[in-house]
Amino acid sequence: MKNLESLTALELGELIRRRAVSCEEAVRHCLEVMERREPRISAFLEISREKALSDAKEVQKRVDADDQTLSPLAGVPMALSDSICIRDLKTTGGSRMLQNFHPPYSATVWERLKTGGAVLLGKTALDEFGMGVSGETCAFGPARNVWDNRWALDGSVAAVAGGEAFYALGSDGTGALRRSAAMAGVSSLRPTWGTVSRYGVVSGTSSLEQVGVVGRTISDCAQVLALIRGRDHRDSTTSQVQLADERSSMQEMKIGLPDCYFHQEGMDPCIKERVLSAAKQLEGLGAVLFPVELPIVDLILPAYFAIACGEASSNLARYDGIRYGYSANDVENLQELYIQSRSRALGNQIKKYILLGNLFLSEKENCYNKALQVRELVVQGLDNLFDRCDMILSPVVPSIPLPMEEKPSQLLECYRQSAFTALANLAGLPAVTVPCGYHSEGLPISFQLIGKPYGEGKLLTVADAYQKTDGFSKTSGEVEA
Amino acid sequence: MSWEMVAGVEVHVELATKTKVFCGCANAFGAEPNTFICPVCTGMPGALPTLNRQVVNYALRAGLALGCDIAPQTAFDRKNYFYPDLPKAYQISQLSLPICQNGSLEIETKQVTKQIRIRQIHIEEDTGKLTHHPTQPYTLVDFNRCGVPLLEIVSQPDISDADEAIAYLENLREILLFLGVSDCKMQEGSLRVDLNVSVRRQGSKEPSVPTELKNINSFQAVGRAMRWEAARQIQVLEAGGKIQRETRRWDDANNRGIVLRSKEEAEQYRYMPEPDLPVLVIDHGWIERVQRELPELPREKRIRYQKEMGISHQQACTLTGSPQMAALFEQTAALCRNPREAAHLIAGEVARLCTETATRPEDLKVDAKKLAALADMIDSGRINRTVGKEVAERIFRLNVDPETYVAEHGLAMVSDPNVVEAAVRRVLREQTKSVADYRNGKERAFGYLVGQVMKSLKGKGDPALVHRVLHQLLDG
Repeated sequence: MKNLESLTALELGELIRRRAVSCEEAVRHCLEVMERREPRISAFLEISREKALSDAKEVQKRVDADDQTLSPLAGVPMALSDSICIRDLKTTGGSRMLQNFHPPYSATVWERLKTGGAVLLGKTALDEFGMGVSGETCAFGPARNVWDNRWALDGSVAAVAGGEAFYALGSDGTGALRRSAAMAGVSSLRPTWGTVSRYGVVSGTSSLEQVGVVGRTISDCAQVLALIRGRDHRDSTTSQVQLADERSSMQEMKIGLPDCYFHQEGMDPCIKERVLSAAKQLEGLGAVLFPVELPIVDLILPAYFAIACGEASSNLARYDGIRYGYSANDVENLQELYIQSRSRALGNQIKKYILLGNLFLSEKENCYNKALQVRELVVQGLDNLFDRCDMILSPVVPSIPLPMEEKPSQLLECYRQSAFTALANLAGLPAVTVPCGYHSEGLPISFQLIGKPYGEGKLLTVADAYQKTDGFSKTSGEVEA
Repeated sequence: MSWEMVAGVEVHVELATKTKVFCGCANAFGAEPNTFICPVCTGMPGALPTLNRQVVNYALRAGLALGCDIAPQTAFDRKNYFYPDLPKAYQISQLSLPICQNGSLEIETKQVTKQIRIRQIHIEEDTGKLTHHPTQPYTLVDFNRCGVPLLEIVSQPDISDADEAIAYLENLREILLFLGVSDCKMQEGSLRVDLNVSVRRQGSKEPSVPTELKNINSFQAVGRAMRWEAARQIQVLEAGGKIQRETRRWDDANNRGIVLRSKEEAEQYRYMPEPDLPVLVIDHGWIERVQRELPELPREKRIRYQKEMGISHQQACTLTGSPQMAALFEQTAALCRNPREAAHLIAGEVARLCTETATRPEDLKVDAKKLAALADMIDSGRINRTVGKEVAERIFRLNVDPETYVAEHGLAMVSDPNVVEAAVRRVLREQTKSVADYRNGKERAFGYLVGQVMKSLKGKGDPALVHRVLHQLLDG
């Protein structure tokens, strides 16, 4: 079999289109990698081996028939986070609550990918209902980082980083997708809120989350975004705004460096050094860099957190043990049914989010509404900021998170680690993460670019220009178990 | 010193849209349980609401008809609470930016004519329906009703007695029916009433703490509940007690309000803006379009019927008893020469027959063309009114053709003076006692003689001609 391991999704798609590689060969390649690596990284909750092979044959027929509805990624094996519903296929959201849930509908993003000839390998692990630092709260065990399996990862990131899938979709509600991507040496893209339909994606934090893309390169991510974005009549928060497709020039690209992030207490010097040196490289490519102040920066993280908890508590209240999901069947009355079903089937971390959310939503505290006011102010402040620059460059995390076994308090760790990712969630902004080096501990490091609403085009221009000169992106082949 | 009541009314009406408010499921009453449901209205993970624009149109219709200000931007909120009939564990409602505000409705009781101010109208979704098993320890839930659109219409506390509350509700119901936004059936739950009742000393500005009364099943029960609650509060206050903020369920059979929950147990709804629905902008064009298409309201119809068609107030009221009745009248009136004749037939015969046969307005199926033809036959003197009533009943019950029916049964009016005169002479010969009575000044005997002549003409005599000939022969 040809060695496909070092290819990007676009490159493999091109080979499939030219019939140099068959769809089935591509799937068999991935299944073979999975066989080797899954025992160590557990990226997948469910592997659809037979289905993937039969789907590959179907897509191959379309390729052979020169089907014009196929996308440039037709036949390229990929993975979906288990928060993304596929009709009649088990979808757990990473929670015991939904361990036997088979949705009678498919997410819009999957329908769009499938139309273009996507071949699904399986469903990947994620934080329970998407709420965590980087995948560690998954009720069925976390996915692990192929670089060092003491660290947990979001499963869609783990699958791409491990070379098991060529690209994957996950949900970026708390930034776990970007944080995972950052320490696994793969690229990730979180689109502007409202760009990609959330229909059929298990909801955690509605106003903060967007379907995100993980890929080996930022060009792969851009291609996937082009396939899934756009207005969806089933999600009325999807926007009519057309993303500008054209890549702009690097010359005169104005990039702001938020001083406060780089000088934050606890900022890891190694990460800082790597990110600033990537910034230098961008300067060399023609970009103009200058320091900027973020609006009411001290309130971004608290506001983000209050909204995340409030919305999670409301969205997750539907899991009551009555219609679907886990149901305690040994109880005497309704109250007990609620209490026992939720107590047994929800994890500790998610319970903390729910309890805090209830508090934040209570009339007495009113934190949620205050947080929404902060969001308004931040968005207004950013409007002014983005008059002066095209995007903001920052680290993705202030430090390498503690390994799985050493985490004292999940919730505090999550809060701390969200310091730089929260802004995009809170203000609904697009963001990309791009690998830019290694930490002294051996894990990859990435930088993050946050753009103005619908400013994906410029983010991709800069990220792509960096990757084309740096060549850091094709990483998975370098780590062999 | 005497007391007065200070009360407000909250009305929930289910809107008669084809589909539910946030999904494409049919909005219908009485189907097999859980047949009109989908991932959205049963709150499945990742299913998202999309707003039915017709619901907004209906809300705007109601708001404009009740003189409300329309919000240029309206938004939805989540009301969070656990209950098995609420699959998402939150109800999508409107708290901070309701679609309509500051309206009013004029009411008229025997004592007073006044405006009841309407604080707001907002859109929300209905819940599912629970059926508790009578003997077994379980409850069944039907989600067909879940996501049916509701308007909540909230009045200001401008109501001072039970008659005013009933007048308000009757007016409101009539308007909503004529707007075509709801069928307003209390027995099917498409119109529900909650009351907020408090009392105060006459002349005082400060009313007592209001009590909420729920589960009221008829307008008459509204009256009973209000009177009972006001009396209870007065009794407590006169005994030096205090009124607690509480919610009571009205038990009409036993004529009392049973405490459901007190303020201490008041529910915390943890309201929050609905993040899955964008703010809805309602521009001038939209409002104007709804305004233009606003149907004529019953009150306007009554004035027009009286002014333009010369119809009596009482008949105008009967004709606007339901939108279907008014439509039948307007169609008939448009097809016949004399609208007053149509009014007589419909306000008289059709309305009577509807009551007699317990026909619901939506089942009223009478052919306006046939009624119009009948009205013309009466108007032109081809048949008299008595025969007209008989034919109207045949049209109502059997959908007969009036021309054919009159011809086949020989019901044409007898207007031949010779025939009438012969009949009168025959009656005068036979009824010597009545003739004598009449001549001795007993006016009533004349009516009896008219009846006898009509009887001998099998009811088909021209009444005016019968009168004239009878007078001539008796008085002449």
